[in-house]
Amino acid sequence: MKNDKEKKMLDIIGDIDDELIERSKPSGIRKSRVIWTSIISSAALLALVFGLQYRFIAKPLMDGKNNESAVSNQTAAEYTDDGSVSEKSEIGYLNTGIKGQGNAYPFDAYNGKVYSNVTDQNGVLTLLVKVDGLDSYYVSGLPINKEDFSAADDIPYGRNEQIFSDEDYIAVRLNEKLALVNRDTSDVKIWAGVLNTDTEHELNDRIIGMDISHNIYVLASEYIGDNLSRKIIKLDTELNTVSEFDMGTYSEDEPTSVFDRIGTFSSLSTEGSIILIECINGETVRYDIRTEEFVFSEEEDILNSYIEYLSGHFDRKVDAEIDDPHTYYCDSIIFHVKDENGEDTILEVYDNHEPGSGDKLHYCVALGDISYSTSAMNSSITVSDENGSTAVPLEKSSGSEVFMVSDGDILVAECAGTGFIEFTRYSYGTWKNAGSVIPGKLPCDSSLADDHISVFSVAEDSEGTLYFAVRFEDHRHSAVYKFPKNGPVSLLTDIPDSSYEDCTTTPQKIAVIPDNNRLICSFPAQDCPVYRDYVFAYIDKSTGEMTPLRNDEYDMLKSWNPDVLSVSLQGDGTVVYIEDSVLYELDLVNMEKKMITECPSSEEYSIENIIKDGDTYYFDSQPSDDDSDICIRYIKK
Amino acid sequence: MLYDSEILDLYVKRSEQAVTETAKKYERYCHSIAYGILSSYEEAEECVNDTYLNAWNAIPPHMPERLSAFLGKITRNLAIKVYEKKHAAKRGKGQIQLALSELAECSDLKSDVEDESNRRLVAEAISSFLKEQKEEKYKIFVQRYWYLLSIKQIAHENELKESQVKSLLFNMRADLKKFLEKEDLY
Repeated sequence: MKNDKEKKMLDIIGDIDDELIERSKPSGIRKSRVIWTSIISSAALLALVFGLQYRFIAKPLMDGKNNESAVSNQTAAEYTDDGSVSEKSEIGYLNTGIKGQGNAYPFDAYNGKVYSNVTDQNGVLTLLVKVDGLDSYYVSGLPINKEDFSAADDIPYGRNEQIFSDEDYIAVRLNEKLALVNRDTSDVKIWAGVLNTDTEHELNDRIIGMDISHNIYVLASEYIGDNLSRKIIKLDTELNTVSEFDMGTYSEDEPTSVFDRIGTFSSLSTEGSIILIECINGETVRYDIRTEEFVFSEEEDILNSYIEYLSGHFDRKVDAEIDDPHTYYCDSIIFHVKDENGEDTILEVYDNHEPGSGDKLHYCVALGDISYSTSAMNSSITVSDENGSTAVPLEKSSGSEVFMVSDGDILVAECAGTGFIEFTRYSYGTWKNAGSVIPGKLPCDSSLADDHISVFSVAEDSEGTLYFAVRFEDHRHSAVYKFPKNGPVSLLTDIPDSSYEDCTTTPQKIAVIPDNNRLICSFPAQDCPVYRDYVFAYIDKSTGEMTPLRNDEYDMLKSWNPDVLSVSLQGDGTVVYIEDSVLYELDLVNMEKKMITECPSSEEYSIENIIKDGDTYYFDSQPSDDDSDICIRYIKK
Repeated sequence: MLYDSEILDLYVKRSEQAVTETAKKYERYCHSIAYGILSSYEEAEECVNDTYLNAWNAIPPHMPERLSAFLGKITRNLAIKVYEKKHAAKRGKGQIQLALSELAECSDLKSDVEDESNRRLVAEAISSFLKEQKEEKYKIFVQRYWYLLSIKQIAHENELKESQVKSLLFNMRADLKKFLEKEDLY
């Protein structure tokens, strides 16, 4: 094997921490274990609820590092209320409010007692334990180091407003300190001195929520003279910074605008990055952490204000130097579009994965004339104009997707940092905002959290209505949405996953077929026999009714690799694919298959990056004997 | 199924039941790892059998804290060796070859990784780096470069688009390089 350095690196990665290996097991490998631990976990939870004897595993989580923890079953011991530890007995877990299945955290068997057992604001049972012998605290089985808290620190017994948790993290207050505990890794971040107690006025700062990035928001209150001052404090868990948003002061004589409107807080929760403030008068007020604005009006206005905000936000241009677009990844997509003068040109969109660019991708567009020979299949595209390559860059988050829609326009769908699905359209030489979808209806998170969606495909009909297929990351369903030019977005059809084991129904590509009344949607067919019937399905544009291809059509398709067909669906409802070095086109409406051309057999072709544009076909290929990673793109006209 | 501690007891007692119980509990896991690398049922099966033999020879004196990861590591190493033999003469298109080409961006290590202590140091640094990442990220990294799953499999596994997986891995490799530089290992 060549690549000595890389091989050594691969070997070294083989020696990474066991815990990482276990936690990263692919589901196919993990399944039997998950069920097993789930049974144990459920039993332990029942035992806890019904007040049965607690049993803990003996391998301790001593120091906050989880290297020796997790679900491996070592010597077990029994913990009893009097602090004694018996010899090995059956194993149990405290699995309270732990994410998903199988993430049971063993307790240690040292002397200790269950100190507090409360339900947090999400209704999740969260257990606090103080281990007397170690002066340590545990939250749902996760240790908080004794160095971080003194024995004098008080656990807020039974006061659930001091604990806030979601599936991934637990935020807990212990006196003036606040700890954020990662349920999976047991990492603990501590903030000291940000939570105050005003004993004179019996005012406690309190945790009011966590957003989808697990930043913690605290409502801080203090009296300045006779005036009550309130602030929202944001603890940025990524940057480890603390910032304050002053919400003004309140006095009965001179109410400020904020407090005049919202009165007294009754409860707060989070929705994406927006904090909802429910007032005692029944009004719901939103405080947008990012714009630092309160929004009092109805839903429609909220949407508008966000779109306004986003429009301004993404109008900015990014300066990027494009040295040589062709040295970048093979992910480039080439489109045939009109430039700002309405002239035909070639547009290349590629991810500029420059080191140091963090999570941002520069969707760069190289514009220029195209040169290619008329002899089929053996000349590469060059992109240039009189000044060399030019670029119209657009900075978008990692994970955003590029689609070609009608008239050669390009649409980028981004899960924007604000929690929106944001569409940006490239048309006639410029990028422009093409609308946003409010979170709550379609929550998204570019940081790949569980509750975000992925836009898998976008199609546009002759009236300019966009149809986009999404996958919800709760892993149980997909959907197709309809987005008319003047909005609003509405659900066209929901596509729940099959109850068949392991099956999902991710719509891979969607297209408007030429009769203009129907869409056609393709689905992957991986590891799931029932999918065979749904490699392609028609979707009625008005009703959303989904109709799988007829049996005879299915028979025609089934002899081919459904994965290839699924990803090769073109915007006009045809399927273009290369099989045994022959380029074929399959008309799904008339169910006709025709050979386009033979391709050089010495090439290896990408099955996913085949673009049909009129009578021109673009695709990636690589000579079989070429060690380089640079893709060569061919064109046939 | 026995607990790991009980299986380990059987190894210590040199009972052949140890292998039977290991197979009962971990055969699927080990086979999945080997098959992911070799794409051959028979070869994967051979690797798994060799894994049991290696475990039998290693335990005792070695007493793994996590039996599954211990067995997984043996299987992975054996499978990579088999792959190397098979593909010694030609340029392959398998996941190992692809993973290697990706790792080129962060493999120029300063340390002499032939040395066992240095290897351990780098492995620990990589572990630390991964533990700093969000769970979704480190899982994808480990699935790509430890389990050697294809981008397609990872995308399917994590319900992401392949471009998202590629992008995430690219950024992680760049960040890993920086991390190793900071640790004076690069």
